[in-house]
Amino acid sequence: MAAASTVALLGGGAVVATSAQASPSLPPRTAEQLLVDVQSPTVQALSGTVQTSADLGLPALPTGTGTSSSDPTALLSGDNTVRVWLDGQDRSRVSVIGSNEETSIIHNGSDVWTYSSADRTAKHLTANRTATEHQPTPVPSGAPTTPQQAAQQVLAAMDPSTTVTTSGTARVAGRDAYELVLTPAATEDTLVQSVTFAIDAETHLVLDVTVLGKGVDKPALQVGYSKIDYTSPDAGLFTFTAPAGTTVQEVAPPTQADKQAPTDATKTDQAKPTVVGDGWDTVVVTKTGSALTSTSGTDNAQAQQAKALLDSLPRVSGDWGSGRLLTGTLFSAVLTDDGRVAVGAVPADRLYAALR
Amino acid sequence: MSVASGVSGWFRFLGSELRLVFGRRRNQIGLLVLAGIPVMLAVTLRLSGHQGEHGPDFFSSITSNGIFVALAALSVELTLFLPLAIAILAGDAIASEANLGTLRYLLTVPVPRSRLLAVKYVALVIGGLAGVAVVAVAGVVAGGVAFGLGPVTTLSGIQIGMGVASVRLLLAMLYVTAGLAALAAIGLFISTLTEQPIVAMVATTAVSTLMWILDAVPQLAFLHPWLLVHHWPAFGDLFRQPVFTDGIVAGLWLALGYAVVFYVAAWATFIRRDITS
Repeated sequence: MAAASTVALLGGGAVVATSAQASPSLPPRTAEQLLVDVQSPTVQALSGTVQTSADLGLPALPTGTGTSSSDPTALLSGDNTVRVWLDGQDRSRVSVIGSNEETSIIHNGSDVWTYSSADRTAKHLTANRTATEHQPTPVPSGAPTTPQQAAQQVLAAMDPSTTVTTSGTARVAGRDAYELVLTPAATEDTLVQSVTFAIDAETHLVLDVTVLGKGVDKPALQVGYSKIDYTSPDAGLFTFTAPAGTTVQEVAPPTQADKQAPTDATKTDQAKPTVVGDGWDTVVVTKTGSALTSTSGTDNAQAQQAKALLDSLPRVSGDWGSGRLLTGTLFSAVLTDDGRVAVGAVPADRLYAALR
Repeated sequence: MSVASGVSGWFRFLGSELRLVFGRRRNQIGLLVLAGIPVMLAVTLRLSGHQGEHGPDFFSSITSNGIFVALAALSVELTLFLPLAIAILAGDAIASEANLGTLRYLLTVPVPRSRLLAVKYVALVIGGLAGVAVVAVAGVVAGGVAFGLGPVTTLSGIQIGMGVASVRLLLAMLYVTAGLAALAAIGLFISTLTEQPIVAMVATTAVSTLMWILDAVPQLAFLHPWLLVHHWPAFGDLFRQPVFTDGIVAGLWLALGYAVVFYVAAWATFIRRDITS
């Protein structure tokens, strides 16, 4: 038939395998063993496609059309696609795929390049710290771009009171995987219900991280590979030369404050934050001053967007003062009128207590 | 009838159908309009003298290389002009001939109706390919004159040679045509339902426009992967380095699905239809 033959001629290729499939049978492994495995993946190189899905219950940002953006802050809401290439300890390329645009972060030794096709700008940063993690450089918003990165962010926040169990096996991106479930203890006053890791049975790499909020069926956050291939990527992917016509901007190396737990896109290198509580119900209180309009690394349009967003939030007040409250499926934040920000994976009451 | 004469008869039939499609003054003007948009883009951006500004869909890259005029024009015209062209051709294919009474004469020729429909559809797809090719060629020529051609910076920031980029542009054209071919099957089906060509043209345009609107509503995200037009902009994935195929593969399968379903529906309607006028 003409219809079939014409299109089939142009087509070809294979159906993309979906990630969730029947559980494979693997030799049993205890939760403790898996917890050790997670910390030490045996692979150094991979190429993969990561699907991220965030339903943090945040107010929708006025992004205009339904097309997806490649701005790294876009990873904090909706569904996104990220291509990842890793080779060894200090070479990585992460590309956030937008609708006919792309933001790439290329890390090679001490050089970190960010290239955005939408505004044709490249940022260059020379980091003199030695790479200690087997990880690509986190994107500026702090959003995890690989499941391994997301897992490490969770493990960093983990408390001894966490219950660690296994829930069997799964198949992720065509790989057999063990599932490890972290559940906050009942005494923890947190919005997090559970965090599930899918760990590659062979390479111990985290292939998928799913975070469930309390009382919500749909995962609040999911970061997982849809495709993964453990072969060394082409070395050319890790070298970046700013193409002609590109605006190149040299960026000062980040301060230590940048390495703080990045849960909030608006929070960057401000005054030293106060940490109240520990484990899952930690609340971080930061003095921002006029931070929302002068956040480093964000352009003016973004700051204005943040301001508009802030004005749309409900006003709250109490014996701790007054401010605006942001409640999400996974975390809450209070921005007080005197310029303090309290953020945590906790209900609002706990934030008020921390602000007192 | 031998196979050879059957095939040559098929091509003769297709040839006369194509002469009809490309011979119409209105269709020739339509092609000029399609070519006009990339030319207008190139001239405007050249005269305004702006360095590429922030923007998706290749607009920010236009001033760096003429080939991006073709890509930007394709992504602009995909929302209305190219679907409109398909809708007009589809309205002509069956409904217009039924309206003018010429379909009856066509059917007196000893040719099975299914072959008549197949020829009409292939002519539609070739018409779509011609539209896409006109946009792309006009874009490259106008862009080349205005901004020059040379190594192409992909969306990933890695440069590829002009030869590789040309091959990828060709693949992008074929991919866009595959999407339009699926819309052509929808148009052909609508065209078999009515004797009013305007109805078929408006309905086909409405189908594609409605899908674009639904695709822009974030609350309908669950529906988006099933909308034919959702994957159309994926032709741009050919200009990532390395090429990103997920969206293109999904788009081709979906286009195939739409094309088969609506072509079969058109066939089922057409072979039973009473041609009264």
